[in-house]
Amino acid sequence: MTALRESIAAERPAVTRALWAGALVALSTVGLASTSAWLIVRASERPAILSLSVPMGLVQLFALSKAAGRYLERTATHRAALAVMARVRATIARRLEPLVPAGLGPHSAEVVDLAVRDVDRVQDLLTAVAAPLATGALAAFAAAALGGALAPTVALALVGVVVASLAAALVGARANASPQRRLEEARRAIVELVAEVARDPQGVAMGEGVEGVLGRLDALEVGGDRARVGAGAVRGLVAGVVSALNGLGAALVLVASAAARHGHLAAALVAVPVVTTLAALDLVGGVSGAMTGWRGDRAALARLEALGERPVPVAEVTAPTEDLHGELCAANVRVDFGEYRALDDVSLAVAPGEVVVLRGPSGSGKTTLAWALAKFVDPSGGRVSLAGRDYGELSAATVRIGVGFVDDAPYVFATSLAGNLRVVAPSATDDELLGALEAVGLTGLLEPAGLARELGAASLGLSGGERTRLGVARALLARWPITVLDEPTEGLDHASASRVRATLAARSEGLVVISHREGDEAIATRVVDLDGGRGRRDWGRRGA
Amino acid sequence: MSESPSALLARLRRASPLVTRSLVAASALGVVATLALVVQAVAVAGAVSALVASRASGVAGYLAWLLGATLVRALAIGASEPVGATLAAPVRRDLRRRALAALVRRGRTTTQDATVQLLTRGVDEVEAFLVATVPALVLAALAPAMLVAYLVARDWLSGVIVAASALLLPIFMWLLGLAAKDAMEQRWRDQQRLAAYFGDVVRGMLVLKSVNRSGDAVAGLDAAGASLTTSTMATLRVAFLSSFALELLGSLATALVALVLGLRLVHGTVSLDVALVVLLLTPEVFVPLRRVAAQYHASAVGVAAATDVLALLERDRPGGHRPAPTRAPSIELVDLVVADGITPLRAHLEPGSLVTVRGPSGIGKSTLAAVVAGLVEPDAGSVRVDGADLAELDLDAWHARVGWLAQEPVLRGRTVREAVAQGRRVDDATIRSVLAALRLDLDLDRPLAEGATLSAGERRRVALAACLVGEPLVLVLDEPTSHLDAASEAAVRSVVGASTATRLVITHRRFDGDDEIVLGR
Repeated sequence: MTALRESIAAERPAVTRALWAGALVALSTVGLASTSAWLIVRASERPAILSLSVPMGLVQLFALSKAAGRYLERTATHRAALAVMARVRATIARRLEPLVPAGLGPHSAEVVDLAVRDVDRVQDLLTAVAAPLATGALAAFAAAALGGALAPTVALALVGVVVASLAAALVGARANASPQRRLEEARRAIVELVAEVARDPQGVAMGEGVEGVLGRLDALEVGGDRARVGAGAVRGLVAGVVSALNGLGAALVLVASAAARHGHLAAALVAVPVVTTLAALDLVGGVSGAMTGWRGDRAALARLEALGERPVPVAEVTAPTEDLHGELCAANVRVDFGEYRALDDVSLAVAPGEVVVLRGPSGSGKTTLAWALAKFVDPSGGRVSLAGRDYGELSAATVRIGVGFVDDAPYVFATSLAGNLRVVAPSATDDELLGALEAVGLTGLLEPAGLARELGAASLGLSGGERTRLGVARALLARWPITVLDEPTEGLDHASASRVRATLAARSEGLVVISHREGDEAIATRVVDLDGGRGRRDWGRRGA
Repeated sequence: MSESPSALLARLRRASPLVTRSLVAASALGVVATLALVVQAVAVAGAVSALVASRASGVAGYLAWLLGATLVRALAIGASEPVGATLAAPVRRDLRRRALAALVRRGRTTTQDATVQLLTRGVDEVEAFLVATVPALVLAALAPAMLVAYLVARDWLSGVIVAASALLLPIFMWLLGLAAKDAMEQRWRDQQRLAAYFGDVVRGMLVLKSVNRSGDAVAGLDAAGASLTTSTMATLRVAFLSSFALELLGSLATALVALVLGLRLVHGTVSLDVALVVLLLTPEVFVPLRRVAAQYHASAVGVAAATDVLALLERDRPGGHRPAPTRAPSIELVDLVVADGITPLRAHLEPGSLVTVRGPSGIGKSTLAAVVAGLVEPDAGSVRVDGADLAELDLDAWHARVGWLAQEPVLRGRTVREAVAQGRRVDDATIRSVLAALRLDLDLDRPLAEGATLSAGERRRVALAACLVGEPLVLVLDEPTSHLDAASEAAVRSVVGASTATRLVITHRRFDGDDEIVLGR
């Protein structure tokens, strides 16, 4: 949890302010409850009204300070959480930066997605669990101190109940872990089923039919329901136990007060311990529900920490940044990810003006080779060079000026269409952007707002084919001397694919086109078939 | 802006009768918990009064009441989660089932990703809306009303004070709401923006790295974090004002009630145990209201999701109840218009005949195929099957009897076997013979996960095989011979030609048929 701990340490003033505000709430709550209880019982003894002016003043003061404290607490807590989370996000981004894409395993997009969600969970941990827990604990402590001053057994009863409540919440968190995991599994399976249907609803209607799909959905929902009922039962149990403990706490404090009343406790103070206890327990009780998700939050933290321990796939080279033009050459390249050999003894060369189409069955290492060419992963054998210079002596920055890489699922940033293109070419003019869109047949995206059209999360999003072409448009604008394109015609209809091919063929820069689509080899000056050095897999003979 | 939670709830109740049941149960448990709370307060007050009067003997009875009420309240609170989850489950299942059925029958209205989101997270959010938000709203209306009514009955003056503050609250909130509602939404957006910016940087890291901008972007996160924190805090301060108002009214009401009670106790116009009960219950009036404020965002999310899901459900078109044909039917196109500007079509397909469709590209041939398959409604005119309008047929049954080859077929399933069988029970021998007739010699276990393993022509014929093994009564084939070499094309033509189904074939190549439809303007 070093990332979180360091971020909290760095934002100590904000965190301290939040804790002080929490303390104000705790003390005001306990103060309001105890003075009003005292006031009422004392008043019932019908003293001179003037003697009640102090408790009356205190009641008003605490009422105001409680409300003000709440406001301060909420703003201070959120301010602290936002500041801490800004640091955590920056730390996590810094950890991810050297790992993307080759250091995150075969499902790097999912790893990154999970990290983004984990960071959000950590924020919840701070605002929904840690902050209320601190306030609740302080209130319980203040109530116990006050009650203890009046009768020591009151403090004992109160502390016992608070500890038992938190213990119940922790046990609940443990019991909740397994149904929660099963629920996530059921959710994932449903996402897969829905995605399958959404890809081609008409095909499903005509093939499997509505009843068939619904049958499969029902089977998946049953598993999810069982997990949900399990998780609901655990949460209900925790809430019930905590509520019961509050009532029990009141009863115990009453018994303790009764014993003290026989001793020295003045009649006017009799109501103070029990009313104060109920107010303090109210603050503690709210936290227990949030704590049921505590284990998930801790797992999120652990996953974020583990990012820092992943091996970095590219060794840092400190060398001046150069602008190199020339042949890109891979000779007998081998790439290993731990035990797994993704690429073995592969050679490929591409000079400016050439178009090399790289083919091969899935799993043959096409994308891994592209990563090695763009210096996203260091080869464990063989060498990659640009203009005759070995990658081992070139900084990553130098390589990426000379060699560009566009992946097969280009990311769409939550910004305008122009922003999504300028991200690779900050100085491009509007005309250049329009030219690139025209060249890949994406002018349809200009409706209705032109280059200012918002893309990404805020809009409906782009189809797979549109994303593919956005990537090609970026490659055109970035003007790398040599560009490696991963599946630039994937998801495109026949006409769009032809257009993209014609655009690529007309370029004077060097191109490596990874493809499994027939027709792409038409633009090749050379075709390289990749077997991954692991033997060609033969799925029966090719159709006539 | 979307509709109010209550209007939406009414629509949800109409959409699913199960919603009412789960609401009644949640409200009933809330009422029991509130009643138990009143008994708890009365017992505590009674016990304290007995102690003040040094009547230790009376305390035991009150303690018994306290513990009893505690048990009832704990059970009611503990039961509400599992009961809510159990009762909401059929609602969620029902909504997702119908949304999925609507998706299959009517197709997508938005992107694939957004559709998947809507049917998975969206439906889950509707469930959360029903399980958490709606009960909180119901309880916020019920519990304060019950408590105030009890307070008025026990001590009308205090009751009126609490009621007045509770009634002030909506006015207060309304006044603040004018400013705070926007601020609340702004707050949500701002927090999203912080998270989104981070998400953008790390998800788009590959793009940024490829142009050497990842270092800047990561460094920019620090600055952006600081500036977004400042701007977010500005809106948060306003947004939290409404919760400040809630807290202030709540604690001022408690203080005011305590002061007034104190004075009246001195004058002897109210008894101690009544005063204590009032003091204990006054803050509880405001607890459910606070919970509603905390649900503001969850409610907005739930409303938005439910609105979208209901929109999808309302598009559903299960068709009529007329049974689908049981033998190859006649199909008649009556003044059918499937695309803008084309001449209305009139054609008659005899049972078991083969009619080809020709026409320039983009004229609507594929739409015609989809209309006859019952996937799309025509712009005008009708398709009559054995004399009955297609719209009156049981569409699911019609789909089951039609073999439809799309212009760009998508193969579904992990293997060739699954892609052909499409969830139907078909034995391997049948699949092999259909594939063989189409000149395909494929391992049935051959995986389809990657497009790399089948050529375009093979994919088309596997899709055609999937149409044929269902023994359809009608075949609607969109370009069955494209991407095929001469030998495969001949095989497809002979298989389609030998079929006894009523056949509509869109083709730009030669295809022997009984008749021909030409689409034109």
